[in-house]
Amino acid sequence: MIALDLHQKDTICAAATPALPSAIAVIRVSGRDALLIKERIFLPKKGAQKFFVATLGDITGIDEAICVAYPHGKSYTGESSFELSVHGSPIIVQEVLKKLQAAGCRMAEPGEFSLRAVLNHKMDLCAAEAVCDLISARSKEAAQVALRNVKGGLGKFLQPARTCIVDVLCEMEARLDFPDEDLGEKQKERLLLDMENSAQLLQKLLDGAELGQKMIEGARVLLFGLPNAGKSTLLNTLLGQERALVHHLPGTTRDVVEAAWVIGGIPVSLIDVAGIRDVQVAETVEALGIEKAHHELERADAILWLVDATDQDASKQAYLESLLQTIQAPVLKVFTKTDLLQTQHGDFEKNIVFISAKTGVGIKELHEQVSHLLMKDGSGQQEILLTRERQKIQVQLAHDSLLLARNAFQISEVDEVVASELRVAGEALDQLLGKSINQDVLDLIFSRFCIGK
Amino acid sequence: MVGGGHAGCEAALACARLGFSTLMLTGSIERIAAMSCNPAVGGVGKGHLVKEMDALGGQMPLIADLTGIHFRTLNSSRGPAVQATRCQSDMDRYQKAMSGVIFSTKNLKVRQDDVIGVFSNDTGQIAGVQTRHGGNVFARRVILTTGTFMGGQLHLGHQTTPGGRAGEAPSAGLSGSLRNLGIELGRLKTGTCPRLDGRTIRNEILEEQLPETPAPRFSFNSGPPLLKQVSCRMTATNPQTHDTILTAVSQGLAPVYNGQIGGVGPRYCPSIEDKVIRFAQKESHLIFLEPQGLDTYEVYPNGLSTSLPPAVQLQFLRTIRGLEDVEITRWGYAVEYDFVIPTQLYATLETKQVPGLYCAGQINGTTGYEEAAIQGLLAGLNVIASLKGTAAIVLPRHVAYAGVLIDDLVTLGTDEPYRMFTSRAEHRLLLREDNVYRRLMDVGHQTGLLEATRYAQMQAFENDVDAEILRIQKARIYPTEKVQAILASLGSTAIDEPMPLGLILKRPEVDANSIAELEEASGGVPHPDTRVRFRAAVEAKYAGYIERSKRHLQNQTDLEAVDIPTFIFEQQLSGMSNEVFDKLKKIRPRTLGQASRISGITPVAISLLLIAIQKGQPEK
Repeated sequence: MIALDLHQKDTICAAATPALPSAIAVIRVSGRDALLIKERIFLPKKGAQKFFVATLGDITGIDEAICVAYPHGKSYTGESSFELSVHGSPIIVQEVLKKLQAAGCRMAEPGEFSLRAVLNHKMDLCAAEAVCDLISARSKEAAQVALRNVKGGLGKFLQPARTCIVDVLCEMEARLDFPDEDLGEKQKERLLLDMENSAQLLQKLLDGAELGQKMIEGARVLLFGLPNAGKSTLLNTLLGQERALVHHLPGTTRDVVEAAWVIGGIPVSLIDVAGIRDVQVAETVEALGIEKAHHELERADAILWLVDATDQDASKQAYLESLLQTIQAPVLKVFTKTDLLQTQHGDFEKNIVFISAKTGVGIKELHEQVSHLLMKDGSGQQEILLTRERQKIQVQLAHDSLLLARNAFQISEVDEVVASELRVAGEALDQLLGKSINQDVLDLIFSRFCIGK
Repeated sequence: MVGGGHAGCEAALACARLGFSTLMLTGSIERIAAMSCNPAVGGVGKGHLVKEMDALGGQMPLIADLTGIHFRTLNSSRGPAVQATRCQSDMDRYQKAMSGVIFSTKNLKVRQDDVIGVFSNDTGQIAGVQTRHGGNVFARRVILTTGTFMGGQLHLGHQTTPGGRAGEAPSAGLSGSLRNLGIELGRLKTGTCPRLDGRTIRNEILEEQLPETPAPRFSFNSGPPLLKQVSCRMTATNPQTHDTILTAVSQGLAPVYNGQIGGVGPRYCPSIEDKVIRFAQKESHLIFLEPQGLDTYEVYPNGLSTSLPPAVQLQFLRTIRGLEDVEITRWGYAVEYDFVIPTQLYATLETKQVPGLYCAGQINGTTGYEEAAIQGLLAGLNVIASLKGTAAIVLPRHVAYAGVLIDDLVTLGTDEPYRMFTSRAEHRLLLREDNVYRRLMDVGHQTGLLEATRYAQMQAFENDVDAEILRIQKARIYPTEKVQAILASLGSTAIDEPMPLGLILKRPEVDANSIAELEEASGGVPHPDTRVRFRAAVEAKYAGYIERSKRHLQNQTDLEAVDIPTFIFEQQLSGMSNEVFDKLKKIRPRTLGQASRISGITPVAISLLLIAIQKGQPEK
C-alpha cells in the first residue's frame, strides 16, 4: 500500500526499462538507504563513488554494471537514489533485483517512484494528475482483484486464520477487561493449537506466493551429473530439438547451455552444464566449465541428478553426492540409458525416476516429478492467491506475529503481550480483507460471555 | 456550562481555573456531581482514564481518593497494562466534596435553572442559552453536559414518566432546539439497580471482599485513605431467580421486551432480564453488594440492573442467597434519553454545525462517570484553547485512553452507550496506569491546569524511574540460598552464577513486584519507593514488547502527522468515489490517520488525499 509508506522509509527498486530482452536494462533504486545499499552490492570502496563501472554480484559476478548515483534532492524521486545499467537479459535483471532485495530493498509498487517524486515536489501538477489517474486506475483494477479475491480465494483462505485470531483475542480480552466476571479458564491447549494451525495456513499461502513468483520469474532446473551421464541428450529430448552438442566422449559440454522450457505452467530455464568430476583430472577448459557448474548448482531451484544406469560403480557418485548435500534445492535422481539395462528395474521410488531418452520410457514420469519438485511438497495444492508484493508483506507480517503470539502464550507471557502480537496479525489481515478487528473482537465477547457489571 | 454532572464539573473547573468567567447552570444544585448509578470510580480502562485526568490536572482523582472507602487493583495477577485502580466511594461525601470545590473556585458561578434551548448569532456562532426562569444567558462558548436528561424518559415496569434521573425532571426543549440548529440526535437507554437496605442483608453468610492494603490511589500525591475502609460482599443469582424473572418477562412485564423501550442499551451492562434471556445456559450470575457510604445503610447490588415492576424486583431479589429477607430502598429503573450523534463533533468536542458549541459526557453517547469526566475536562481545555487562540488539545490514540475514547466517538460514532475497554486501544502496552505521568504531565503543564508544584514532583518521579531502569540492568543478583528459594517459589529455575536483575526480570514467571524481594535476598538495596520500583521494573521487563509496539505505531503516526486542510472537503477529488467523499464531508477528519479509520475509507482514497494535500489548495 502506497499510502502507508508516507515518509518513504522503505528503499524501493524496480526495472525502469520495459520489455526484456533488450540491449540495456536500467534498474532504479530510491529511498533513504539507497546509498548504503549501493555499498552493500558493490565493494565498499567502489560503492562510495558517484559514477563507476564494476562487477555486480559475488566473486563469480552477475554482470558488469554502470552505476550512477544521485544525491538526495537531485534524483527523479528527490530521494537518495542510484541507477544501474546492465545487459538487458531477463535473468540478469532478475538476479540484480534479487540481490537488491537481499541488500534491503523492497520491490516498488506500480507508480511508486512517481508518487515519491510528487511528494518530494519533483514533479509538477500536471504530472501529479497523471499519478492520481494511475492510482485511481489501479484502484478499479485493485477493487476488481480485491473483490474477486475476497469473494473467492483469498478471503476464503484467510478467513479461518482471522477467525482464529478473533477467537483467541476474544478469550483473552474478555478476561482482561472484565476481571470481576466469572468467565472460567481459557482452554490454553486448544487455543495454542488453533494458533499453530493458522500460522501453518498462512505459511502455505506464502509458499504459494513463492510459486507464484516462480510462475512469473521462472525457475532454474539444473541437469547435473558425471560427464557422459546423458545430460545433453536429456536436454535435447525434453526440448524436442538438438540444442546441445551430444557426443559419447565425456566432457563434451563445457560452457553453460540454457534453454527455455515450460512445465506445469511454470516457465523453466533448463541448465545444462559440464559434467562434474574432480577438477584435477580435467583439462583447463573443462575445469572452467566445471567451476561454472558449481556456480549453477547454487542458483538452481531444482536439480536433476543424472546417473548412468549402466555404470554400477557407486563410488564415482560419492563426490557428487557430497556436493549435493550442501545445496538447499530439491534433487531428483534420474537413472538414464535404461534401455541398455539387461534386467528390469523395480517399482518407481519417490525422488527417483528411470528413463531412456532413446526410447522415451520414463519421460512422462520425469515431467510429473519435476513439476512436483517445483511445487515443493509434491501435492501441487498450494493456493496461489498472493499476487502482489503488498499482500505478501501483510500475510508475512500476520504469520510472523501469530507465531510470536503463540510462543509468548506458550511460555506464559502475560496475556496483553500475546494479545498485542495477535492484534498486529489481525490488523495485517484486515488490511487485505477490509475489516476491523477491534469491533469484531468486542462483538464476539458480548455474544459469547455474559458481561454484567 | 449546561449541567453539573461529572462532565460538567470537570469542564467548569478547567475553564474557571484557567481564568475565564464561567457559569454552571444545573437543574438541581443539591445534585451536583451525584453518582446516579454505582458508588464506584475506576475499573479496567476507567481507572486509566481517572489517572489520565490526574496528569492533566482534573478533579475527579482527588475527590475519589478523598472519599473512597474500598480501594483495589483489578487484574493484579495480570500484566501491567491491564492493571487498574478501582474504588468504592461514599456517594454522599463524593458529591459534597466535589460541590464544595465547585463553590470555592474563583471565576465559577453556579445557578439553578433549566436550559430549554441554545441560540446562535448571525454568523452561526453560538451566542448563548435560553433558561426557563432567568431568560437568555449570553456566552462566547457553551458546553452541553446534559447526561441522560435530554428528552429523558424513565421506565419502571409499566410506568413511564418523563425524567432524567429518579425524582428529577428531564430537560425539555433542548432536543428540539439542537435539531433546529441542524444537529442530529439518537436515542439510547441505560438502567440502574434497585438499592437495598443493608440491615436486611445476611452479610455473615456471604463471601467477603476485603479492600486492598495498602490502598492503591488515583492521584499522584494522595496519602493513605482518610475514611474508614469497608468490605464488599459477593453473592449470585440461581435458577429460581431466573425462573422468577422469565415468568415476569413472559407475562409482558419487562419494558425492554414488551416494546415499551425503543432505545439501544449497552451489551456489556445488560439488565438482569437481558442476561437471563440471552445467556439462558448460564445458571448463575455474580452479584457484588457494594456499600453506598459510611453514613447510610443503602447497598448497591452490582449486576442487577432492571426495569421490571417493583413487585417482581423484590420477588426475585429474595430468591438470592443472603437476600432472603431483603428490603428495597429504591426501585431499579431504566432511562431512555436523547444523545448527539458524536460523529457531528470535532475531536475538540466542538459541534461542526455550531461553532462555539461543545458537547461532553453522556450526551455524546458514552456511559460511565469517568468517560464523562474526561470529556468534560478536554472540552473545557479546548474551549479555553479556542478562546486564547492556542492549539487544540487533541490527544493521539497511542498517548491516552482519552484520545482513543474521543477518536472512536467522533470517527466511528456509537450505536450503544460507549464504555472504555482496554481492548479498544490498539497500543494498549503503551497506555498503562503506571506510565500515565510520562504520557500526559507535559500536556497538563502546557495547558496550565496542572499545578506547577505537582508537575515538578511528577518530573522528579519520572527522573527517578529512568535512573532506576538503568540501575536494574546492572544490579547483580547472587545465587544465595534465599534468592534460589524465591525463584523456586515463583516457579522459576535457579541461577548458577551472578545474574543482572534486568535479565532475571525478563522471565515471564518473575513479576515486577518480586524484584525488591530478590534484591534483598541477594544482599542488595532495592529502591525505597514502591511506585518507582514497579514502574521501572515494568519498563525493563517489557522493553522488547514495548519496542515492538512502538515500531508498529510508527506507520500510523506518520499518517497522524498529516493534517487535512478544510479545502479538501469542498470539492470531490477526481478518482474518489461519491461514497468516500460523502463520508469525508460528514466526519471531516483532522488528520489522514483519522481518515484512515473511518469505515469504508480505502488506502487508495488515502493516497488521493495525500497527493491533494501535498499539492495544496487549488488557485481560485
